Amino acid sequence: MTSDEMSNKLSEAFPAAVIDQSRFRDESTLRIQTSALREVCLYARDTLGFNYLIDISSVDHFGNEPRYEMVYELYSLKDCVHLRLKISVSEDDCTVPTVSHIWPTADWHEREVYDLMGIQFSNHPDLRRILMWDGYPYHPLRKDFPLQGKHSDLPGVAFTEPAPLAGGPFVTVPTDGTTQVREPRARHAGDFVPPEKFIAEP
Amino acid sequence: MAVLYRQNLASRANDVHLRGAGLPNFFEPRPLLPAEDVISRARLAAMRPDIQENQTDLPVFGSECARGVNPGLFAAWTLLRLVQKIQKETLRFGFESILPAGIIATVIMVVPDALHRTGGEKHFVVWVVFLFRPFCLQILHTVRVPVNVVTEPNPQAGPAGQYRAPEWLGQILSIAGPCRDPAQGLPALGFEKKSAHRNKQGNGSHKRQAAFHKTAGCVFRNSAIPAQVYLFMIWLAQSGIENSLLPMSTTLSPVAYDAKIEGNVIFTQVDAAINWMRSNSLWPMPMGLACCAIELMAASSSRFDISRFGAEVMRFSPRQADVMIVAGTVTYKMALAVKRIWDQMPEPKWCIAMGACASSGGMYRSYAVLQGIDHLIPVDVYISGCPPRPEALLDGLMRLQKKIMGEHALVDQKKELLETL
Repeated sequence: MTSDEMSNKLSEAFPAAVIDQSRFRDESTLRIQTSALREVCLYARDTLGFNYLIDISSVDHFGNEPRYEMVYELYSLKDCVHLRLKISVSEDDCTVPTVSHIWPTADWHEREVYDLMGIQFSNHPDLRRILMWDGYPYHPLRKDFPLQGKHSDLPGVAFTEPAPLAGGPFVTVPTDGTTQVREPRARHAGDFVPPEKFIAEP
Repeated sequence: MAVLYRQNLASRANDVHLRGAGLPNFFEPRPLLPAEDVISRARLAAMRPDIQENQTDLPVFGSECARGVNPGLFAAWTLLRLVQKIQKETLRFGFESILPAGIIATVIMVVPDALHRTGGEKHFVVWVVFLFRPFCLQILHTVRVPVNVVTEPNPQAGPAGQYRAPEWLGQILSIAGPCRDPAQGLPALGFEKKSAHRNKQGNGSHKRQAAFHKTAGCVFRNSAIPAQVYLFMIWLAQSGIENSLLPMSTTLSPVAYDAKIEGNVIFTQVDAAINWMRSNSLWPMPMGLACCAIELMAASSSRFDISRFGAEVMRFSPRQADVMIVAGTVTYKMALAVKRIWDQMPEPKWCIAMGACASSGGMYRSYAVLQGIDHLIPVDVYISGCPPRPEALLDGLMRLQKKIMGEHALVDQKKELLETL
């Protein structure tokens, strides 16, 4: 069974839950309702055979509503089929049901999302920070969190200070000249003049 | 290389041939003579016909040699004891308590443990140490002092709360007689009479005595404690051993070599000796945090071989380590763990920041990375590179060794601790 057929089968089984079904370069993506996440995932695992949860990631569409998005990458080791599930998470109710009881590997993935993006997972067995330390006040992968970080201090545990970006972030300006000219972080803060035409990638 | 190697082998074979007895058996212990037998005067006279009957003070290492004790080991052992004592006294009372400001002095140190080692004869082993600012030490002389000379109590005992000269120093100071008022000036050479029974050398000692007066007198003019030291030096100078002529002219060189006492005594500055030992036996604490640690591992493997510099003993217990090599990105989460391990390392300790990340955060200008380990712990050597090659680490290590050789071995390491006392 191809991923297309899997995707169709799933949307037939949950016609109310599936908001959108798309296909891009032989990859199927289903956008589903948050409330139906648990049932859809159980169906995908038990009936469709997606026995492997590759990854869980989160996206911050800062300035749009709903702000956050969760992405579940499923894989069937039996059929060698890949399927992507997406749900939208609003900033007001920043809570998503956990899937860690369906795929135990989701435990740490969800902890990472909680740590860096600040999305809560209901019924999660052990929702603690996994990369930053308990007591760190921010969620650093949010778009409104500055790259250089903010000051924080938890005595005896850890502290943070803003990093000197000096006009950065760490990019190389596509101009001729020495490293000091090309790499903004090597300059003094305030010297940075954004180039008229900024090319992020060639 | 091969030619050199062959030559080397040949020269060693030649050595063995010259010995005439094949390879020595290193595994057979050298026979130790029973202690009471060694020190007996008859035996001593048989071994050292130049020693006269009533002469009690001998170069200690010479007699140790006669006993079958490895003189080098014994010297190292005694030196370490001495250093421990000085460190302890300095830490407790500060340098100023040992010497008043601006004074250059010769201090006599006793190694009480040697009393036990010398067995039946009741001797202290005494170190004559030339001590000058900034707290450099030079061991000028070792001599055995009969214990029965020590009769008076410690004259330097001060009121409670002030510095009390340690018991062993007080005992030696009391050898030289009661403390004199420095206002009276230096004692006359009449002190010669008091120790005449130890002086069988005749007129030669007068010259030495005069030399002492000339050299030491200008140094100790204004101090009460060193006046007694001075007396003791004269007593030493009169004690009639050729080797006791102190090499005053070499006080500023790190090591003085005297062919007459070869194998017995090394005159050196304690700074030079200790720094030499420290810089050539740096035990690293490998704080490998990122890819730099791979290069650190390469540096300790055979191609680069960090053991050529005596730093191959990677200690994963911080309490056994001397130098922390911070190799890699220090995240904030790891930073306080690094600090904690650093705090557990005993003084003296050094730190090498290996690579761009440990030095300055490197390419990680981000919320999660400490921008250089020197925000938390003092760094002695920074090594650039991302990651640096093992040669760069070795270069950093050699620079650290040079830095250690220039340090004052005893005071600089404990500055913070001394301030808190």
